[in-house]
Amino acid sequence: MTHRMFVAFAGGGAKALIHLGALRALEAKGVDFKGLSGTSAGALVATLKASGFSADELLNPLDKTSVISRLGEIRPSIRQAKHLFGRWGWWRVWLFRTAMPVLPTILCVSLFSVALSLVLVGALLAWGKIFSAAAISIALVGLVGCVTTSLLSGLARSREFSEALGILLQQRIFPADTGRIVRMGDFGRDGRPVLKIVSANLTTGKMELFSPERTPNVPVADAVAASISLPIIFEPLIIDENLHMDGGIVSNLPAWSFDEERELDPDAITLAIEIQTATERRILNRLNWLGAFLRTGLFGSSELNLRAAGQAERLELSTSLHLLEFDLSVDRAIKEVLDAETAAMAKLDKWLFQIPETYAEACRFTKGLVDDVIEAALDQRNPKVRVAIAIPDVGHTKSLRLRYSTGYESHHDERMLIPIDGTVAGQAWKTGDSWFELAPLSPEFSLMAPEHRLRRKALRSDLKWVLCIPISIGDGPVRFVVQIDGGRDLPEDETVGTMITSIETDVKEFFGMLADRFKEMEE
Amino acid sequence: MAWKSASFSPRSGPPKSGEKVSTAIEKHRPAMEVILQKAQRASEERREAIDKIKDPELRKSAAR
Repeated sequence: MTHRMFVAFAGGGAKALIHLGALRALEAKGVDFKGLSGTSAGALVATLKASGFSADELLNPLDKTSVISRLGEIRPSIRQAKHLFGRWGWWRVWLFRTAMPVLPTILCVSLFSVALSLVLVGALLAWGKIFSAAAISIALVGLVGCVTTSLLSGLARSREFSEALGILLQQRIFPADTGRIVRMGDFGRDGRPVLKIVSANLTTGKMELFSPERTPNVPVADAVAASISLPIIFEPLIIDENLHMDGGIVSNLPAWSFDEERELDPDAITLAIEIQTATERRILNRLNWLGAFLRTGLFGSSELNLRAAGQAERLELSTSLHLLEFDLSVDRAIKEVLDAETAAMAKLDKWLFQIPETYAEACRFTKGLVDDVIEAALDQRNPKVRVAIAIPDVGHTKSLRLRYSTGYESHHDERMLIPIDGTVAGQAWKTGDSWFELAPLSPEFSLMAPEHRLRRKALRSDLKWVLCIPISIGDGPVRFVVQIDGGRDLPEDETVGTMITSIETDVKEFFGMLADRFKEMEE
Repeated sequence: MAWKSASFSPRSGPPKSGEKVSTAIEKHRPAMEVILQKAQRASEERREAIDKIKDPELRKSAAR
């Protein structure tokens, strides 16, 4: 089965290497990439994938070739990932990375040195040594100016990399058209997926979304360079007189960028691949909160990126890699990618593939069982049975989503969000008891409140009965509700009572055992 | 009855067809077993795969 997907890659510097592992897992699952978006290093991965590069071409664990070697064929100075920072850029970045843990100490020593120098200048002036005082003042101003300028203008230049990337994309997409600039408008057509890249436009003070519709003429390599321009590390980039910086400042995980596409194609899945920094709680006090504040500002709102309609899922992966660890060996990079592939596969199976597909199969099996039981007990053919699992969406507390359904093909309530209050499934969820109701449903289960106007229109019009069975493991809380309904009348007699009892017992046992098998995966 | 209802109150009707129902359900037992075995296998394979991950952070995130 092919899954249509919109995939968003989060930024994360060298940590984005794990995106390649996630990409390998998605390719192994035969995903059809309809759209790709990304921020910062995630934008680079999204761009390369949208241009037709496979995960193996980006980094092949067997022959150890990578996209870096391809860039090296275009610009011989690029031999390793660290060379993407330019000739001297990597050394400056390396120094900065090395100094980072002791940055507060360096800052204190620097401030103390400046203060000491100012005292010395004052003393020299008092002693009448004007020239010495002037020389120290000029040296001090020069030094402070150099350091400040160097930090503000960025430690590394992205120009060489973006030029090489532009040529690489042209060679892949338009091999016969040397010199052709690949632009945002070249994506989303001729079989290529839609590409969207986020940067922070400091000139307008707004987030910039580079996309085929909004910015068709912007060169893709420039959009990527803008998106990766992490303050201090890279120089800010100017595109059309607008100064751009790393998109992570405004949206580090642009899953929202496909809101319209997923409304238009609700069966497609939106997958947001997020890089988590640390799994442990930090011990903070009133003085050491700044780093955590920046991390929370950049990465803390990822949940908001998925607050939209459709099947949006989040794939969170943590890594031991450092944000600026671009000098890791090829062997270590390969290990990290393969680890990330295994981790991604395990999580994708849990959320998108194995568990959902098994539950969908279990629903189909249940429909077959109920069809047969009704036919055997009542001699009723084609009882128009439907089966779905009602389960809360992540973070939801007042509603259940109908998932993994079968028999809903010609009905409007497929994947509908149903309130817990006012529905038979909600009653089963709340009470932990199975409920069997005949149509017309009593007012307490009829969604009569005005806020349910559209929901009432979507409900099954030929509903004759509904059976909702809560599933739990042992004495634990209800995990989900199996909702079975039918479109043909059932007589109100003992035969139906016996039949419903048998169905309820078997379905409860079957789904209970299934949930138990998956308990470890779900927890 | 192990279930509740606000709208269904069974009246006496034709003879109970418990045997027919049991036969129909029994017919589906093998398929039920296949699905359960598949779930068991998937769970075990996942555990083995996660154990192979060397990066401790990635292993933790895969297990979550």
